[in-house]
Amino acid sequence: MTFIFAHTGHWITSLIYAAPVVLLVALLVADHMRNRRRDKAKVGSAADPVEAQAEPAKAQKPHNPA
Amino acid sequence: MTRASRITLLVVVAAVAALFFGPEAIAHGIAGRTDLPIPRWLFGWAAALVLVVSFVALAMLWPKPRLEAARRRRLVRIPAAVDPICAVIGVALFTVVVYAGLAGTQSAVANIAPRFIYIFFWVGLVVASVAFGDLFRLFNPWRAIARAVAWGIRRISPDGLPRPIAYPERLGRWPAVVGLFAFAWIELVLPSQDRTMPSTLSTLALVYAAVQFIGMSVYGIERWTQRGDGFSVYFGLFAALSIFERRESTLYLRPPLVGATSLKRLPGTAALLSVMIGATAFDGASEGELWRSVGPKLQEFFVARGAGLEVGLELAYTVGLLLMILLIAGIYRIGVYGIHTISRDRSMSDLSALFVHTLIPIAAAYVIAHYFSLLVFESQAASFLISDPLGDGSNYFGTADSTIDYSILSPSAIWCTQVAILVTGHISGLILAHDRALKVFADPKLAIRSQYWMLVVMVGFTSLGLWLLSASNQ
Repeated sequence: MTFIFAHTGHWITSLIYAAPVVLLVALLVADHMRNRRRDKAKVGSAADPVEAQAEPAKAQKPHNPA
Repeated sequence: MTRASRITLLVVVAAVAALFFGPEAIAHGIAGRTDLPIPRWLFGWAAALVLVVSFVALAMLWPKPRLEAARRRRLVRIPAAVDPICAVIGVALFTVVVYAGLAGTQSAVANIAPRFIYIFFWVGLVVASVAFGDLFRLFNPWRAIARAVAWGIRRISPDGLPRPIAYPERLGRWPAVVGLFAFAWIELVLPSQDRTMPSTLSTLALVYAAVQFIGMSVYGIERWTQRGDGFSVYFGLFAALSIFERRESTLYLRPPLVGATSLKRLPGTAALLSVMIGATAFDGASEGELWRSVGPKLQEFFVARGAGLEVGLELAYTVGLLLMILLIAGIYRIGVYGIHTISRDRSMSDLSALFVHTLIPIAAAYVIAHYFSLLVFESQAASFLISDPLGDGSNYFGTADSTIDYSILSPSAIWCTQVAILVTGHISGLILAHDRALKVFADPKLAIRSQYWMLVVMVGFTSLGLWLLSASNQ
């Protein structure tokens, strides 16, 4: 793979074009992880009967498919 | 004007306005190449911003699918004489170009064949198809010849021709993929002196026509033309974006993009569009710094393994072309996977087929933007080529001495037009994807969520397109 990096300086600055894509992907991945954490937290609270009784509506809420 | 049309117009106007006025407001006065007021990469960022704003606007203002059920307005009845007249013109043009290539001078700039095939046909007809509909179907020379032969045989023999074999559904648009890839390979991989040699091009045109005759005789003229003939399928896809639609002998008017929603879901369509976009993308990439670093090393790799210098170069370009097509297919696959995370009950291939029409405006934008300056400048050559098609010193119309004026467009005007074309194409892709998602998902919120990754795909294609354009313009 060394040859690809032989003239890196000539084209590496072009990566600036990819910045919006990288930003969008980062936002989407962060959103995805936040949703997963929230889903896990809901499953955990639903498994706790005391908490489930205290918040029945929240525990019965369907999971976000994302 | 319908509400959908107003929204489309609004989005396009906003995109163009943001593109031309937005970046200057945040980076006024920074000198760049070709006298642009801002660096080129900032256009890429602005274009991405425009796409995000368009995505939000669609989510707020476009709550129901509109394109799929859009109505067509009857325009005019096409006279019966139009088809045979256009067919004769198509066959005559084909004959002139092939004859000029074989009998005329072998200079690529003086003979009509190279410019006709690479400029007027391959690029000019794309613009004409988007603007006026499926013109190639009217002028298609091999279809016209096949229809004339079939008509003649029916007149002579009462039994007519044997029934064609049923076209295998599995084959879908794959023969067209092979045909288009072959053309792209000739255009981008063959050494310059071979790919522009008039006699070579004429011979290849005859070989292509022969393959089409075989395909039409085996599977039927219309079925093969619609699925197997690479050029018919290629121009037919671009024509789906047009506001004009022909049904039988009547011409209808429809809102833009509507034709793309009725694209038949056939195997090979995603591959075909990947080849269409990938070929143009590689044409741009092969003129850039990255390829100038990688290409020679790849050639050395093949030469070290026994290939000659020329074969090594061809192999390197073939690998580059294939990798670019795979990259395009991969980017689209990411968007489909994003939709799949919302709709697990549908398979990836099902979703890919459902959303593949969103790549049509992107392919159109890539071709028109990339070849815009070539088309503007080189199409002027028609004035002298028409007077001297063989390049033998003839002057049939007294225009053989006219020249190309390269000053009619400045580099800045070319760049701004290219950016506007790319952004408009990708907003069109977003609109098609959003409208289809609303149909696929009953819940509009889920539909919008499903399109998050499609937004990434569109921004990715826009950034890639602008990077390639800036690389090839340097």
